[in-house]
Amino acid sequence: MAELTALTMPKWGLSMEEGTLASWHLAEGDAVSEGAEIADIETSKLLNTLEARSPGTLLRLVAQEGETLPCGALIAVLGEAGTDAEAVEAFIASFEAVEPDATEADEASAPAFRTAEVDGLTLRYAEAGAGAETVLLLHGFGGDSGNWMFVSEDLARDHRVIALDLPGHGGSDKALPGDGSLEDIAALVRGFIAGEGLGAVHLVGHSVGGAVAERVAASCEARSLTLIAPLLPGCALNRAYIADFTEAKRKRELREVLTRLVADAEAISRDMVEDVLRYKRLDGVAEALARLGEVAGDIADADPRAPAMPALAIWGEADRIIPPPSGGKVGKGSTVEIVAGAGHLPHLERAAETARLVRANIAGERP
Amino acid sequence: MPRKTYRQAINEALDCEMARDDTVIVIGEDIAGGAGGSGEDDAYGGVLGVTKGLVGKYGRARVIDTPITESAIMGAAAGAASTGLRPVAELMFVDFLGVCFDQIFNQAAKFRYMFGGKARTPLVIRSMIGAGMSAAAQHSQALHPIFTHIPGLKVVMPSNAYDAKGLLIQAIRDDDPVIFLEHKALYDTQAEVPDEAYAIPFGEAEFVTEGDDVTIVAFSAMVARAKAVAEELERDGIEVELIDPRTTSPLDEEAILESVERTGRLVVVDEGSPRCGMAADIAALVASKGFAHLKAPVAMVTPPHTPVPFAPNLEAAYLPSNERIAAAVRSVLGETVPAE
Repeated sequence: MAELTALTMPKWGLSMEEGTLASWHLAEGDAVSEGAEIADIETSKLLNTLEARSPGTLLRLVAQEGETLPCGALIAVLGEAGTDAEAVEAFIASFEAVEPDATEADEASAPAFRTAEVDGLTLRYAEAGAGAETVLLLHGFGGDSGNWMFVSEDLARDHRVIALDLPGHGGSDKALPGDGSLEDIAALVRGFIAGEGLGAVHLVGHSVGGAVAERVAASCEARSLTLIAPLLPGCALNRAYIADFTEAKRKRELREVLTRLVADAEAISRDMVEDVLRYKRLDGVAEALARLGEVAGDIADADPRAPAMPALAIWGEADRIIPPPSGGKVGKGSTVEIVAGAGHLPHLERAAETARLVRANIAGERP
Repeated sequence: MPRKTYRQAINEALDCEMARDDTVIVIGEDIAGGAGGSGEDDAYGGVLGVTKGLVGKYGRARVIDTPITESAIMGAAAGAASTGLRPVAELMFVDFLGVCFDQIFNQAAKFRYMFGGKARTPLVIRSMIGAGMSAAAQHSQALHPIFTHIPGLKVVMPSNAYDAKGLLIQAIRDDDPVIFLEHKALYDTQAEVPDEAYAIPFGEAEFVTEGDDVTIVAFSAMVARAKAVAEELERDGIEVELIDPRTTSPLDEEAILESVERTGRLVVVDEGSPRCGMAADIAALVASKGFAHLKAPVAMVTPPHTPVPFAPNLEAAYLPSNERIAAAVRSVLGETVPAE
């Protein structure tokens, strides 16, 4: 009997429990190549595209558009063209949905939250995958490790991936190290790398996290540096966004602010707004954001300079927070890649393309 | 994020603030478990176990059991608040607050005003409201409109565990007297509640659902009923905007008016008595400031003007039911609704 493959509702990130099948990109009977876009899945955060990991033919669409299913539920069956319909029916009938992180086979790549103590602060991080080399992901202003939900699974296929909650964010302590300067935060991250024995890591940083990654790379051995919409010295930072994000206290007010992050305002879900609002209410967050806002302003005011090591910089073409550099360069030896259809969050809005670019840089095959 | 009960959330809020600020004390009947007598410490943690564990952590100087003297509890708490402490006074059932009206209405509520803004009264009064437990007429009232009526008091009505923790922390940090009303039917309901401390500002309504067809304003335990109705109506293509004001004083008038401006229709669901109640208050608000937007008369879903019945079947009939809420929504939408 021909081998059949189950396509299941993915689990992107630790908090995802279910997803809604927004639309199918392919129809029954279509040939599927590896990496082909199969369906759009709506999560509580954003819409993302599910890509095929193996080639075949789409034999049966089990889930209907608009249907919400738990992670691990069967959404389609892939196999060889011409497979007997009864075999497909039998496969569907015998399929048992499992949480992707509940199976032994996936245990190694299953994400998990852990904590580390560094210089008196507790830092939380999400870890997934395994491999000789570690990819360290650093989120941006007001974000957390969950911002990497769509790309970390991809990277974790052949790397150990650690998404850190920077101080003042996510599940980490809300106090900032030292006086909260960029150097203090970079020193804390260096302490985390040393404390966890990560050695030379592949650094990937977004926005303010990009500024931190660049500073870490300046004084710590790193295998590669990928900067996504990074806050680099002299950049054209949209300061009104920082101020408005810090000040917004009501859901509708915050929703408008968050829509500036993305190319398509519809991408900002109600749950995403609620999550950010809940984060902003936590003790210590207002103070941390106020200080980080000052730090961001100082970086933007500084004289432009190249990153500390050759880097790949990825920008959404519609970034309204830190627009792509006008000259198309961020320094000698570095490359800038522009992602179409994305704003300030290409790793959430165009996750597959962004992940491909990051993987290429990690592999030393800079595009 | 961990899921916690409404009861746990309130306990955590007390714990967070007592750990953060040693001027925070709690005072009430049986809250330490022994009524000041020889009983076992922490045997109960209040009549419904909300303060359990606090006496072990903070001692009897900060977790103060009292005799059954409601007026003394309120008088002591108001006095303590005006002299530098931040008392959280527990008064089991809101029905018993009648004997404390002078301490609350005539004293604590007016200190800031009568002393030219120089006096602060950081007092929180926690009490239980609501029917649904067959606790009879003297233990089941929802008296929030009475407190809302009094200038100088802030009135909080959390409808879920997440809000309960954030609103109680805000209440304890507030420098004015706050009436914090917990619905007894909600203590075992669960929601995702962060372990960390967080504060939800007063006067900021929650949009529980968003929709363009009709606005429902509901309070406390009625929020869950209205939400169930909104989900049911959504299947028929009716989009409900459900607003939980969270605090009745201050009231987020802007959220209500802005919503009605969009939907043109309003249903208010409240467990309080219909006369001079929150439903009437909000109906008047919209009639006076948003009348031009109304496409239908405002509907009010409340109990009848009677004491709360003891018999379970009568008590169930007394409370606004899902069916009555749904019928009110369909009525303001112009659908013909069969008479009850």
